[in-house]
Amino acid sequence: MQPSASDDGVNDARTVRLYYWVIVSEIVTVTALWAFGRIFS
Amino acid sequence: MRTLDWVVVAAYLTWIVYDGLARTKRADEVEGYFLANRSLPWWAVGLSVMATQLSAITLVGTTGQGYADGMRFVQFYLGLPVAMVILSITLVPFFYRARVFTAYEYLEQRFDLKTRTLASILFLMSRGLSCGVIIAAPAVILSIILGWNLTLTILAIGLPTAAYTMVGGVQAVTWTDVKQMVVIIGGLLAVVTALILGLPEHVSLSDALHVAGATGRMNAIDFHFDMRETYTFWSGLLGGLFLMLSYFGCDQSQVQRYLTAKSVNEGRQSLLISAFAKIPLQALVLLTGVLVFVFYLFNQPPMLFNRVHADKIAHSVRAGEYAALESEFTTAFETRRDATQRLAAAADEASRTSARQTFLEANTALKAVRGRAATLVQDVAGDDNYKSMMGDTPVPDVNYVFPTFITTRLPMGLVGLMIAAIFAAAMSSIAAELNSLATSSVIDIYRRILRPAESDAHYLRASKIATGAWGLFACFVATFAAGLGSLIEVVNRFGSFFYGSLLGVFVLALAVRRANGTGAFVGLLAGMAAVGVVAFHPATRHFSFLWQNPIGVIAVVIAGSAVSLFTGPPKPTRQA
Repeated sequence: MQPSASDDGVNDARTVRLYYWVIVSEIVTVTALWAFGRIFS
Repeated sequence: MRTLDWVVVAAYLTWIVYDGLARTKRADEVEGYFLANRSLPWWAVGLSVMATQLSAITLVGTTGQGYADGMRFVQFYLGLPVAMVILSITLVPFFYRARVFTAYEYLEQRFDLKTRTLASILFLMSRGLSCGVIIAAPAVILSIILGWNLTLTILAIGLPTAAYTMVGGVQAVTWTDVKQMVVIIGGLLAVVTALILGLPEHVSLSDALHVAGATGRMNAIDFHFDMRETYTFWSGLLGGLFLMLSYFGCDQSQVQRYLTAKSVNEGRQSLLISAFAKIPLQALVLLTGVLVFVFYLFNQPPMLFNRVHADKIAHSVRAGEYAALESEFTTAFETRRDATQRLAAAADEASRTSARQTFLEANTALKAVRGRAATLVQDVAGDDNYKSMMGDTPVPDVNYVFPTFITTRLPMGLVGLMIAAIFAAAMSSIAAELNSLATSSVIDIYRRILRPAESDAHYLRASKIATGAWGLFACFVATFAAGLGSLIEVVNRFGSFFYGSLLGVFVLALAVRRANGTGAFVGLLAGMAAVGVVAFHPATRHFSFLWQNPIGVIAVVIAGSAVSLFTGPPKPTRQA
């Protein structure tokens, strides 16, 4: 059987929190860049 | 360049080469030389990942794009954060647990030797040539802007990098990358500060950005869907996602960076630095270009930034025509400068609307003069690339905007710092590529196929020789690539053929349990063929190259799965 990504429990809590923060920061960054364009157009 | 600038550049080169040569701790065995015994901290690896991706041509070309076309290029990177999360969850733990030196080694564990060897050879061909292009591109620009000898510029970039990479291995690469990122970001912030402080007295930063926004340069995000457009939200997020998955997950020059981290979690966190910082960093680089555009609204820019063609025309029979155009350009610039000042000073909505209209008309008039100058270059120099314009700038001129600004408009000392930053961006990418080329040559080919039973000391010697040899090869390719624009295009096109298909093989390995070695091998070839068809077929050749990556992945998975179905079960996978 192939190893799966989670079978050794290596995604520690800090890393999982970071995954969520990456997605949140991308949404915030894209929104900010879009708003930046609207404000200065 | 004045004396202080030369001192800054010389000090930078001495510091980096000395630091790289001193980083030989535990580089006396192959695992130490190529993977630093998997002992490096996440933040250093993360900065190295970013430095590897940020080449000199990215730094110079992206600021040029900001100048000519504005912020929208930032969308190219929208898939990167998501790609980093996906890789951290999927491929990164597989690589760590398999204890591999190269990404392609994993393909042998999962499939067979021929798939590993094919993937490795594709990487060596693609990266070996692109390493030469990475040296050639900034060398051509610096030699033209600064009047340096081209071959000496290539050697000044390539040889010191090859020397410290050869002696210190991956530790030298990583720790010099950290310092080079500091030089690059410090230099950019210094230029942005100089640009803001250099605005005319009555023009605030907000006024300046409003003027740039009137030309559309502040529109960073475009939500409309069009597969022919590279810089839209959807192309960046979806097409870019596959490109970034492929680059960070299957390209040894990146995989090797995070394999040096202390643990699987530190490896993941090193990738997440890019996930957080890459888009803001690219936005900063593009904003620098936009501010250079604003600077040139108040200060006259050259009609053409690449002076080589201008000088050629000045000595041709059409010199008079060119001189007349330059005079017309000066008048158009003065008209636009006055219109810019009126727009920046407009106090109410009505006067702003009218001033904006006048400004846009003046900007269009100036663009028209530049367009005629570009046509003249095309006629006299025979350079067909001058047919295309990016914004108000001929495409071949875009890479010359930022170096021209640096060398003619920045104060003494800052010029040297920015030239050092361009060197830093080039050297950090080249070092990582030489290191990864040597790793794949020695681990995937020499140790695995040619001389499988030698001592560690023998392989270490071979690794150092391979690093030096790839360095010389890259400098050799650079001297040819410098004179052949089309070769650069061929190398880039070859890379895009290979990237999506290679990612497809890894997807096949992880997602299709039934897939076997023959399926993977045939799938890889079928993926590249599919991308070739899409790239050249009249119905699809206008698709942005970003979409070639998902097409390659899909073709490999379909062809690989189908062939696997008819060629027996996969071999038992070795547990790492």
